[in-house]
Amino acid sequence: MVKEYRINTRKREIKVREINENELEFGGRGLIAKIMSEEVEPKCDPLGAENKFIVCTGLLAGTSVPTAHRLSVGGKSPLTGGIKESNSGGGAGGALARQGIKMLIFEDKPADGEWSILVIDKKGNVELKDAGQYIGLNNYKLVELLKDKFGDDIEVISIGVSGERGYKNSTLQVTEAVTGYPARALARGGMGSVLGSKKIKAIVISDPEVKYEREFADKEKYNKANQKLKNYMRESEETKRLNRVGTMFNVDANAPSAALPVRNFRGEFFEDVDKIDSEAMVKKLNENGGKSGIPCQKGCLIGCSNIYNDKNGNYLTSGLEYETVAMCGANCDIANLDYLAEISRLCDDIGLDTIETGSTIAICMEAGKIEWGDKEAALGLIKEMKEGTKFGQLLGQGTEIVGKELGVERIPTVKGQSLPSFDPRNQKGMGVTFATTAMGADHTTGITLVIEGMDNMRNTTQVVLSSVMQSSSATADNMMCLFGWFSLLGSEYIVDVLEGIYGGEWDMERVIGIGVRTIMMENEFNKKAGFTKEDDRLPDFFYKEKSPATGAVFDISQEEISKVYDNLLVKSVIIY
Amino acid sequence: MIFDITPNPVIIFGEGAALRTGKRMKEMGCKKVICITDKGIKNAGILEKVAENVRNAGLEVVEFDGVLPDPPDYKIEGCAELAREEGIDSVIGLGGGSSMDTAKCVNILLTNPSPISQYYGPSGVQKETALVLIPTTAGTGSELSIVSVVTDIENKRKSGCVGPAFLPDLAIIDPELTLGLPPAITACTGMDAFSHSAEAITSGVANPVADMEAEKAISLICNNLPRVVKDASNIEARTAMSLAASLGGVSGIKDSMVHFGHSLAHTMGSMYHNVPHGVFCALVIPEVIRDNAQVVPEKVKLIGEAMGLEMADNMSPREIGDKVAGAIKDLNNEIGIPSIEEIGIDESAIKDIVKIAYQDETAIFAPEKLSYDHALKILMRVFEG
Repeated sequence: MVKEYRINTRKREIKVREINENELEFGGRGLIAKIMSEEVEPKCDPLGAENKFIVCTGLLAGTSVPTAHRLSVGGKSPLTGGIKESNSGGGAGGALARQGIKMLIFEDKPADGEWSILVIDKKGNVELKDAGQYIGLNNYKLVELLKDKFGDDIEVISIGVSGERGYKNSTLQVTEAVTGYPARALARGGMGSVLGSKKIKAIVISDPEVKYEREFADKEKYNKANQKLKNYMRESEETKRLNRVGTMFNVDANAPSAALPVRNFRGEFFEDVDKIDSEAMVKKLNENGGKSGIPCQKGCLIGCSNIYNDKNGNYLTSGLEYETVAMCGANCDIANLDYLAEISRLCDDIGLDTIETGSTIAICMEAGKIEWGDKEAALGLIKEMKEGTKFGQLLGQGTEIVGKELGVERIPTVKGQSLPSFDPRNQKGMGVTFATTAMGADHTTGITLVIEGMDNMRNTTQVVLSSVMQSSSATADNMMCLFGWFSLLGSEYIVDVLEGIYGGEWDMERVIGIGVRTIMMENEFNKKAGFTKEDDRLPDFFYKEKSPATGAVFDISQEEISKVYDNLLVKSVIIY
Repeated sequence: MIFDITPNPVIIFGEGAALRTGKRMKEMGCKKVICITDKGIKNAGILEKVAENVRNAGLEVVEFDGVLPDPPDYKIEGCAELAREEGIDSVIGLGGGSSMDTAKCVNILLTNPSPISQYYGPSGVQKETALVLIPTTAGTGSELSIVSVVTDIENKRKSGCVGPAFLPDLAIIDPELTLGLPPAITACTGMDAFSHSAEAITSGVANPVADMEAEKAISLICNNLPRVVKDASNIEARTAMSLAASLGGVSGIKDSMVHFGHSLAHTMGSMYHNVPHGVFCALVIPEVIRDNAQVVPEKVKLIGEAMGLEMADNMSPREIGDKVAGAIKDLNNEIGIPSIEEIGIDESAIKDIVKIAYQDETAIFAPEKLSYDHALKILMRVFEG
């Protein structure tokens, strides 16, 4: 039995309930969708008392399946006004599982404005403690002080000043394996401000004295299947590629087709791509004593992260990612990895989504507020967000609001959320995913770049590809890291693993069905929140402006896009 | 019947397709490209648009805007010399038939010895460097043909090279590039495409594959050429014409072969340089097809049907010829093709034209071997109007 904690932040009451984890239908993203559907008024104020902030683990939590301890948080997003699940690696998911905790649900909203931290101690006691001394701190210092107080063997989920101030681009940061720094981001949708609205600065999870052992329906079957799964994952090309350079391979993959966003999604080639590609990063890592192939959570075989040091060889950031490099780099006409690593660190510290931030900076460049490629000015904007100047507070509201305020026409958002770094004209399946997912423009909900040699500039097959990858990704988000999941594509070991854990009969239809039902719940929530098919659309300029590098426009009709969730399970299972 | 079809190059077709030039050439491994065009294309800003696109993809571009109509051999040699000096590894032909044909020859001369004249006629010469052709008119079909027409200055005649090496590696057909064409050029280039198609169907080397391509081309031309002549900015009709021109090129100058219509047009073109090739095609094709109806009436009937004419089962060859020729003349009139008198060619030239034309390389592809007298009769009808 695992525990569900409900923390009423107004009454400061904590209630615990035991759940038979082997009866759970969903984990992670699906579990969040279920709770949101059952308990939260879809039209509620995301930063009000009616919204809930949910932290939970996935269906494989407590097992040794690689990447099983992906952590999910969710609620209604202040950025999109729709349902939001954001997930991350790091150590917190594993720590919750060792504590035997499935879920933390933060409810209501304190009237007095007193800040707290939630502390789960070594004995498994869960308590709200005064956070006074930590308020106003950003994540790196905060974690340092929390470790001073509670010991080094804690994992922390926290917000920086961005979450305190209600920024719609605010993240939650999670401490990671290897470095212990708060370098993992629950990045999208401004969820940091939802926890902030409940006046919770951090969640501290101690390593328990007695580790919770989860139940298995058939441990022997599980062990055998998991061994096969691990062998397959270890040998997969996806694992090898990610281990080598992490997500930065996307620069190499996307730049030649002008899918790498350049100067606020101009659809151009990036002339300085060789300064920010994976080769450039590997060179930098070697020069400054950094390293790639780093796991962010224990037991991960993939190790997509990296440690990026400054010129003096001192740690600067970990997990310098494609999205950061693309959105804060090429999309702002900046090609300098040291600078981008500094941005990565600063954003993690303050708690800013680097996708939303990069896009917002590009919008300021588009508006002429600062010059294209002006690194110092871009850094200055981030510092304004850190300091909370008037303009900084506007920037914290995200790309769409800033764009409208500055009178910009080309605002690359869907459902209020910035497009991640794939130009949808030149990667059309990604465009379908961005347009349709309940999350607002989000790449992790359906990465369509999975078929080698496929021309993703064509408009054919891209809708069905998005359909299949959306259900696949939603399934992954119920149980493990997306990269772990991708490394298993082509195998069905997960079926035996789930039978070993949960018992009963499983097949891929049942597995993928988890993701499909998750999507259906999310879509239903958004529908009740007021979203319509009209919202499933990319910004106009992608339909009208030809990408100068390829001549492509986004030319998939709304009628076709509207079919993305039709017969989702059937489509997905046929493909598998 | 045994026929063989030379494979098409890779084709990228559609509005904005020219913007994919740099990306595709980079993928092909090209590093330094010569972009061959004429002053008109340069002045229209099309050269800069394509060159910039290629440069942005990381390739070096050398621009050559010296192409002349009915490309003379010395211009080709000059351009080839420049390309060799510059260490070019790939060639773009951007423009109408003259630019594309110049580019085809320059590409051959990059890795084969000059002069180009040694490759006239059917040629087994090989090309080693990448050739990309981007038409800016909808007519010549050169982007998908195995022929490069060259004006042999010394002998004052149009000649040409024929062979698979004169097909590009990549044809990029972007109807947007044709938007700026004036009505007169639109009309005559469109009739060039019509002639390719109609001659392909009646050719001595006609075959079902080429018939299919040519019938579609004819249908597209009849439905769309008057529209684009009236409204130059009609992109839908422009797109249809670009497709028709490419199909015309494929059928008439690759899968099947043009014949006496083009023999006459080539000859007249080499004598009257100020008149576009397509005008001659338009003027002679009704009479060539009328004549063909005596030899291959069923094939001329196909042309009529593709034009949307009612062709009754019991029509005589003469009736078929008259009906189709009449309809082509009507089309000429509708789109404003000038008459023989209007372009100022005197009847006294007829014999000189026929003497050369009936020995033109393409004349052998006529559905039956033409005697001088027979050829003369056809051209006289053209002058009768």
